Amino acid sequence: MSGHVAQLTVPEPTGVGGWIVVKPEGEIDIATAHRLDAVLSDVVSRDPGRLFVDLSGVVFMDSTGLRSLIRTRKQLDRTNAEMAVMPGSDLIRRLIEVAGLAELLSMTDSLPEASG
Amino acid sequence: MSPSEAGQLAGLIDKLARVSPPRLAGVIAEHLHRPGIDRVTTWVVDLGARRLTDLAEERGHRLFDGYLAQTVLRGESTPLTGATLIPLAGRGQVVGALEVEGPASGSHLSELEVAGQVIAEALLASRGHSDLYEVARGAHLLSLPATIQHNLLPLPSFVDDEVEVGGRMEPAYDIAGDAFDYAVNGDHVHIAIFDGVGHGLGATMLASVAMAAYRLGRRQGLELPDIAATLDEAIAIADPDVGFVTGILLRFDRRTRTLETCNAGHLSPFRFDATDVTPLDPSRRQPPLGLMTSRDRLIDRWPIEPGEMVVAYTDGVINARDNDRLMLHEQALMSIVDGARHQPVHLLCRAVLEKVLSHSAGPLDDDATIVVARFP
Repeated sequence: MSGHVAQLTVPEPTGVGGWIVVKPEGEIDIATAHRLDAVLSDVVSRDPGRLFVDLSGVVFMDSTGLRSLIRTRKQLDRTNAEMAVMPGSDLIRRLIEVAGLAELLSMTDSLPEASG
Repeated sequence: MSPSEAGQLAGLIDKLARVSPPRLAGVIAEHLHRPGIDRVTTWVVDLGARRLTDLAEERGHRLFDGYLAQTVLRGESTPLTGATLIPLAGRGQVVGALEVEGPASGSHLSELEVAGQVIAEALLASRGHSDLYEVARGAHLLSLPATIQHNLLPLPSFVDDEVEVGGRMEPAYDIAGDAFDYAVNGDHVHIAIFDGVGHGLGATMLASVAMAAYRLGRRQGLELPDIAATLDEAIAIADPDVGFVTGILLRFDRRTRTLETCNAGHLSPFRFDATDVTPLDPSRRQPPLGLMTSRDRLIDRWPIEPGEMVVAYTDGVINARDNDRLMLHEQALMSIVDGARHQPVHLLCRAVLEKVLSHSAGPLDDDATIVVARFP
């Protein structure tokens, strides 16, 4: 394949105000989504209670990224854990809105205050 | 057609009906042989419509692009140096071309053109009992998911007095997860586009379930929201962990000239009228198929004026990134469509996806599908 290969880094999750924050940086597509999946699965397995996915460092995302988020949302449903997603760019906000997933993914512009 | 030509044609139909597939090419060449004709070759168009393969396996392959492909795919006979290419056109598609070396003109040419239609039908019919035509068009080079997908697709296009509809997918040999369908049923023209999330076999299985559930609901005469609810249930059963399919169901009523759309998490289609291009944005965004648990799917209704065209596509079309990692924007896509809008629908779809492929820095890493419906 010619051209550039997508890059994605997913640093260790951090704890902020009662939320576990996952902040991937780069491009989320078929070539890279497995890195995000690995970190999200690890977080889910530790029963996070509240998961915040900050996509402000993501410059490109396609439906592969939505798949990772939906799978995580469904897994967290089993323990009634909270999950919120911050899109960062208009591109990703629009991706989530067009897919009709703004509500299901609790799309937000900032880290919500932890309820309860 | 003269009585002798009609007799010749009846003879060809009879021969093709009784010939075993390995002898098809030979029988065609023998039947069309005339004094002055040096050779007759039956070329088959490949699944990507970029290559011709000799059905008799004697002359190998030849490139099929540019002017040659344009005219043959338009169904027109094309003069070459010392030869003529005659399209094999059947059921709204060009499946190949006869190359007749030597002079072919006047009544002989029209006879060959009619023979081309008969041969196209014979090739399409042979798929029911032989792999030879499928292999000639490259079916052995498809990935496993693409083999499933190709078996699901309707004909590339259909045209009558009231509707022209067609679609195309890339990468032709490696598609996995996208699908489209249409059906012209009396007063209703049904069209759908689907994009199964994920990749490979998993995405293909989701798209297959979506296509089957869609066709079943449609054939049961259900209204669009109920067809969508059928899809929601089927996809949730097929993959309860993460499966979803974005898609749009469209239904055009020929009597009222109203288009109904049910958009499930998919990019809005665009409507082209005489002067403008506008997105058919749903009144409310709804989740993809498989993720909605209630049965109340919303539909929107759009009056369609004579001459308008609706174009639906999957995200692979605009997500193709160039060497600078830039996507093809919707506006760019729509101006490409606009530039090709007067072509027959199957050529329009081909022209658009050729541009997408040339925009992409490497091979497409996601399926790119376009579906076009024109309402004269």
